[in-house]
Amino acid sequence: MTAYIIRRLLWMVLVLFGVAAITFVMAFLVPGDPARLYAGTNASPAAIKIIHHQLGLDRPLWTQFGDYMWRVLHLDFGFSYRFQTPVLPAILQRFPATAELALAGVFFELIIGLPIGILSAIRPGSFWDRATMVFTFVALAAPPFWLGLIFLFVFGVLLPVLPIGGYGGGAPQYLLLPALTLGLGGAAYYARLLRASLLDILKSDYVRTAWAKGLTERQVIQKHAIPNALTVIVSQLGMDLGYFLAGVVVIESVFAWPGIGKQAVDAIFTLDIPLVMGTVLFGALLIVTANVVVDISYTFLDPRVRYS
Amino acid sequence: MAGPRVSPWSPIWNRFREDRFAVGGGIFILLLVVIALLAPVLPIRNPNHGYYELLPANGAPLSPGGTFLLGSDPNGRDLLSRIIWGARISLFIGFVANGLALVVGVMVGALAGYLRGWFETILMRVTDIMMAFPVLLFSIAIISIIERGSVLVIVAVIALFYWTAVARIVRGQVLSLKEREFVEAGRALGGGPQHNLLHHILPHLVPIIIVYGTIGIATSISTESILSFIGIGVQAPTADWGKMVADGQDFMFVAPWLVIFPGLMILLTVLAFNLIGDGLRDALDPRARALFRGVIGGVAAGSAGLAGQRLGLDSEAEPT
Amino acid sequence: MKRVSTAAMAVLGVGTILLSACGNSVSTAEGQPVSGGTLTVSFKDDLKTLDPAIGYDTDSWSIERSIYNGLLDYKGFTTQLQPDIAAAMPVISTDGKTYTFKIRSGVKFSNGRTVTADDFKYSWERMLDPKTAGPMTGGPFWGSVHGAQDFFNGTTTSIPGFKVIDASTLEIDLDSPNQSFLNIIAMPFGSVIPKEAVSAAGSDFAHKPVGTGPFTLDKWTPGQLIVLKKNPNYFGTKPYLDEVDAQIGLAPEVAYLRVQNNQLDIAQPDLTIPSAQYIQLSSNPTWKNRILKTPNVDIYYLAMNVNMKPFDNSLVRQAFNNVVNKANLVKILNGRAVINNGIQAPPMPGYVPNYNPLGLDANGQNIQKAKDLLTQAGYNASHPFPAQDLVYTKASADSDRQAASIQQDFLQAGVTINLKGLAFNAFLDVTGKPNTTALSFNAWIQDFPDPSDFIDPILTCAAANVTANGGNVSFFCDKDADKLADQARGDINSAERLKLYQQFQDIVVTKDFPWVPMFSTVETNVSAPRVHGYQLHPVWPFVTTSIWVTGGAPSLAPAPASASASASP
Repeated sequence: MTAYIIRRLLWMVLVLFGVAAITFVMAFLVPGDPARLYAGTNASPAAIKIIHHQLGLDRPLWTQFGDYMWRVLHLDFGFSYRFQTPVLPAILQRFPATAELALAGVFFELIIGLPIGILSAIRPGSFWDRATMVFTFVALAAPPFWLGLIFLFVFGVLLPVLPIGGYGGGAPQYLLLPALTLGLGGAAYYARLLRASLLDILKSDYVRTAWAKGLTERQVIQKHAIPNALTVIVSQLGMDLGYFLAGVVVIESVFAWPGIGKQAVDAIFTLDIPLVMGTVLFGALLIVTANVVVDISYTFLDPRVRYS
Repeated sequence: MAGPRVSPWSPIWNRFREDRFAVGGGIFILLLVVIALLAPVLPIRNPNHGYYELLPANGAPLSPGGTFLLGSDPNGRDLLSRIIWGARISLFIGFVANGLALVVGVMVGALAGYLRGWFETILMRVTDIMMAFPVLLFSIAIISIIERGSVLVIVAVIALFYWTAVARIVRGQVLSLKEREFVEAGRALGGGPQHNLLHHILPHLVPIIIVYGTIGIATSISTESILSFIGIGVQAPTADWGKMVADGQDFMFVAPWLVIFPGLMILLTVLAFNLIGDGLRDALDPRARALFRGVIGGVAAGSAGLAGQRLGLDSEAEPT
Repeated sequence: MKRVSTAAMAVLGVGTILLSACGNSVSTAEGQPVSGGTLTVSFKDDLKTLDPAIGYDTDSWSIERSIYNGLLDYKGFTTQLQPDIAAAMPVISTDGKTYTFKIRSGVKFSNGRTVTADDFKYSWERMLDPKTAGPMTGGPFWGSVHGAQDFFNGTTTSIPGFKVIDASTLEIDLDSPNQSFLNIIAMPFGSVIPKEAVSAAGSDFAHKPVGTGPFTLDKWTPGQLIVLKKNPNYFGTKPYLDEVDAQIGLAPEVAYLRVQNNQLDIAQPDLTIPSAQYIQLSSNPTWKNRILKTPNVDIYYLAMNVNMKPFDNSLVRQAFNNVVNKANLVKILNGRAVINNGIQAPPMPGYVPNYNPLGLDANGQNIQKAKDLLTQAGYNASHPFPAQDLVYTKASADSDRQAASIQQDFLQAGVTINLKGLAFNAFLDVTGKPNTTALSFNAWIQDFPDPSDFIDPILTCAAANVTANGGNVSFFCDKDADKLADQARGDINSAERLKLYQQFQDIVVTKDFPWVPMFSTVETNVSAPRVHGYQLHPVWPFVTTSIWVTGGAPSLAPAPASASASASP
């Protein structure tokens, strides 16, 4: 068991090393002199030379790479060209907004997806089931940025009940639309996943035994079907959270939500390379961590699934 | 006396035909492809030409109905033409990116699953690293390095991420297939590994390839629209649905048709491919629902720009 | 001001000594000013800096004007200079090379200390110090100060041209006279800051500014909020407002909707009203009349690199001057621009009205002539004109649309143009480097309202002779024209001076064709009904001292249905 945990942690380190290496190479490939980008649009050649040296750009590639990895290990992700402040603190400052959005998104995924999935599994073939299928298909096919814009227009302008984007200092009405847009696709996915899992379980032998033993439908569902189906959901959930936290780029852009996704997009279009790469690295860290946490907790939840 | 020959495909086709949604989707795509291919000869306006002379002095875009059936954009371009021409881009990227990812993914995944050993380990590590990246950010970063987005760049980026998911699923399939009796039998009969792979395993991968292929087109189109929306897709003035929504954003409150129509097309196209894929899945092997359970939703999930990232994460499809 | 990224920059048009002050369409019957209250504004993006040595954007300048002062400022909303911290206009020597300023007594920094001449020497040397990495280092504006070049190169550690005679007397020595030097001093780069505040802030003076201005920076939460509070120690006329709150990161649609719903006082004071919002507001009967308008002192043009093929052939450059449909570009800007075929902006002194020496039609085109010239240059069916990249900056959505229109125009003339939109810093990088970019879509906006600003930094040989970050993106260098510019720079006779600049314009537009001049813009903005005294300044993006507010503070809750209904189209 501990061996497994250690193995997963080592895997995590390896993967992150790979990500950091690729990130470094990409940053290196960006055209344009980083010193000039850093110094700003009008700096004199003398100033640029000074900064070139300050940033260590005159050293050999391997040294720069080693230096980069060393700094990353110490959580130093460099300096933002645009804001002239360290990258990681800048990301961490915006992160709570993304976390808030991600959690709210997961909330909507569950609160919409689970009941729908369960209900359509219990009543397969019914009108409700068919309506669910239509909903899930449409929700999965709709481009999220489009959905977001439509919501904004309908609820912000046509029936002006909700604010049109922005953060609003954390007031809930600002969170509603972006979180809903974010969670809708996931809700559809979970609904279908749950439905399929439940249908399988309900047909399985041991559930049939439970029927035979005389348990009511509710008891069967509550005690046997749902808990098993949920293990599948939980593993997906962990990954989802990881991906959401890695920067829900599109939603943040559409709703002007001040999280790390929007920050990264802005950084990309101002060629603020350290900030972009820092966000990519940070995102990877979150995804990998979520993966490992989910894997490890999975082994606790489901003794049958102890990977070697 | 021999009876009439029945093709092994007819029961599949019959089952498919029963799914009305899938058939609907199929018809839609067929129509779309035909219109897209015929676009250059159709009697529609040049999609890139701006009819500035028809715009009022304050440059307000023309609303639907009137000179332009679906209205115009602020450059005086015909929205209907642009949507039709945009279909060409989306379909092209959908088919090509997906095709590329499939070819590479199936080859690599099958080899990894069959040969195991260090080849498989490397594949697993590489795909792990690829999947750890926040895909959307990473693709944007790649494209910002190249400075100029284009159709080929988007195809390459989508294929780059998608093949890993395909490879992992295929590998899983191959692993479970290997243990099956007919493969043992094949080996007992003296066929070499290559023979085994080609004649016994690959044919059984066909259903999953077909389904993945179809739904993968949906994901590719979805991802492409997101990338174009962010601004790294085709260059102006080429019409592209995602880019049209992005360009129309600013004018949303004044000219909502600029956003509504292109987005609707993306939705309908992705939906159609998903329905077809779903229908195919049922038609090909109605007993194999469990196999595909995670696939449909996951592959089709373009939500929040995670397109592609839910792939292959269904732990049950992935034996170690 | 530098080559700027957007058609929407709000540095404003000039009424000059000759022309009357700007055509603001706001009635002066606004009632009596009321003291007190908080003004709430919004900015689309966070400010990069409030360090006056560095800030060179309209957003930085918007706030800087409220927290700093220099020796001179513009009088009211005119383009006439008057003393600010200076006690009086300077005494200028007859050769035009020495300026002597007396400093007003009793001017205090917001930390309580009195301003002396040493503070100016300190502030200006810091501003020009290569280590500060500001945009004025090595540039033309301060370059003629005695000893500046050595300072730029790092060989000296101070500038002898800034001489402190005594605590209240400052002398500036130039190597050659420059009639716009007073305008240069009036730029925010000339602001005075206290040395001790710079040391106390470490390397973060940009976020911890201290000045002498009517307001002080009370709070800056990055990416979210900037709060200015009234400065009780201010030496000048106190502002009406107690406080200015700037919300950061508000998208334009949201900001303008809030203004219409009385939830925000002024949206984006540093930028012009975006296209869609302008269409909305200008078709709304209530709001149509609240829109303020002022012509900008700017010029938008295509630059052709005279050192790169095929633009080294002047026939090609001349051909290109006959292609662009400038009327369409104006339409794309919702009519908030005027066609400009020259290199001077309409409000500028010496502007030649209806300037069209090439005989272009009402749209600014002569396609047939363009085709003929290209044929003359040797391009035909068997030797077609090579496709060109048009490099532009994507910082504004308008530029995307305009680039598409320009592309279409060239197609009519048989030329294929590929659009290459870049991020702003990348754009400056590739256009400012010699032999890198052949064709670009540029904007130049005033640093100060004088024709020399539209020539010295961007059309002289000195400006072409750079290795990077050049402002002369066509790398145009004509010795005869240069002679005119040199002569005009120090010429005290203003009528003669303006004539020389007009001759310079003729050379550029009719003889050498390094540019395709296209249009100049008109600035616009609105304010909520409770705001009074808001005017657009010819030079500064945002002036807070004339504004007062009545009624309660705007709330941020979504508006009731009726108010929004009137705002939708």
